Amino acid sequence: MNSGAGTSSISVPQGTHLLGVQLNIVSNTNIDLAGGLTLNGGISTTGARTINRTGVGTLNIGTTQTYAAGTTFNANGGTTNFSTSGGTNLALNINATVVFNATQTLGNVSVGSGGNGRLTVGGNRVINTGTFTMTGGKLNLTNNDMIARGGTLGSWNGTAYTGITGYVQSGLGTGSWNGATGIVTTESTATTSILTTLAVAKASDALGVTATETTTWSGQSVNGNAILVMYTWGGDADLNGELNGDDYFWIDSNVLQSGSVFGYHFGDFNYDGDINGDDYFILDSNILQAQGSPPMGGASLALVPEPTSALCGGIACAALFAPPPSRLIESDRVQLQRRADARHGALREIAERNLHSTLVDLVMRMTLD
Amino acid sequence: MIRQDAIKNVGFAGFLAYNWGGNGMGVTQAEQLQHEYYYRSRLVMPGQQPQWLVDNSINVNGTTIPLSWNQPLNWIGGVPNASAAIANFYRTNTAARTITLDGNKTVGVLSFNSPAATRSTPAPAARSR
Repeated sequence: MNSGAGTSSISVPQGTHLLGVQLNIVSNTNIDLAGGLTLNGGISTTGARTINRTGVGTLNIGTTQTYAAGTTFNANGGTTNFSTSGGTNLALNINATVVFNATQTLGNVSVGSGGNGRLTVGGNRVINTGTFTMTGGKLNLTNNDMIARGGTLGSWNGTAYTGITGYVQSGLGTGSWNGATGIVTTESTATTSILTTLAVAKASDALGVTATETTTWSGQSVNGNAILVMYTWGGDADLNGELNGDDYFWIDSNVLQSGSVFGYHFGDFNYDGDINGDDYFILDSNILQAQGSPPMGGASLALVPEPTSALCGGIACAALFAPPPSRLIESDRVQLQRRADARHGALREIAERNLHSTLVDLVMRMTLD
Repeated sequence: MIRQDAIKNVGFAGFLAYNWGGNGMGVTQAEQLQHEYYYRSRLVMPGQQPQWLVDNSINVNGTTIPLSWNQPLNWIGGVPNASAAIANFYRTNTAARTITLDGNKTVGVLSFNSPAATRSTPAPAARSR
């Protein structure tokens, strides 16, 4: 598409059409669709170009995308389906419906008001972007992951989290991932229970790599600066897709610093700014089902309903969720015992200081365990 | 001189007289339609933008014209291939059609306005620029 110094346009007022040939964008181009258009021959740009997608129709990008550095795709209308990766030269602004049917390696992603991005269910898909910002809208990871290579983890500002952790907290809403904006999942094991969640952490914290080291996470190469968002078990502090003694280690190590230490990785599993019994409850509730493999989707999981407050008064709650030793492998059992002992001691110390009455109840639970 | 050029040279009035007036040459209705098509494809009004003209492949004087971009008989207003050129596929398809892009083409405006599908496929090494 070349209009010299002007703007090119592709329009589909009606019908569903297919371009099976390479489409090379030489001028800034408006793609206005009332009908449908499928690009199956590839799409590329010559130079830093802007592609504005408008109209209520559907654009399917089905094959190779080769964009020059500085290319921007503004999804401002209808539905745009990406079935191939946009590449690191592409800045994607999501202001309408965008569906990712494959792992995306992108330069930057921004979600604006009215934006509705979604990774289709697959369990092995990733949005790998340089930066990630939201000024509104939603990004639904379903049962997939996200990496922001140069993103900001965020921190607790006294009332809410900032940065990418803030986007996840916003998406969590009242606990069922019903936030009006933010990063969400629509997996039923997350929306109707605490079994699964979206966990967020900095790679240097969760994976133990420095800014100059790289490792592979969710099939992608990351360094210590990357911000990771993972669909995983509730309580998976180290974002490795399973619950074990290591996750207890992180919350045990930070529960006494609640109020000065924040973040999912350090034990705030419900994103409320506190590391307390509520977070232990999530980990304790899921430990039975969450060993050895990451969650792969709601259909394959048995839901663990969140018990009522009456059930979770102490003895009943402990009995209901106490892990039977026969289900644990020996190494995990030893680890869990060691962590439980440490937790027991820490909680007893807090209880003795009369800091929080509910923690006394947890001590009773652990004593019964 | 082929028959179609002869028709063109007599102008529109002559064309009508030639085909529907006496039909002295005994052309069939199909031939008449072909001739009319050929006539239309060559008389372009000033300002006419390139527009895909055909529905299915046409037959001109016994020769089937393929549904390819390069074929002038498939367009009214000339074959679009220049910076800022317009390629308009405007409500001519009665069914899904596949158009061969025989070589790289440059356009500034590409419009598909037909309820029936248009499918553009490449000839070897063809690209739409």
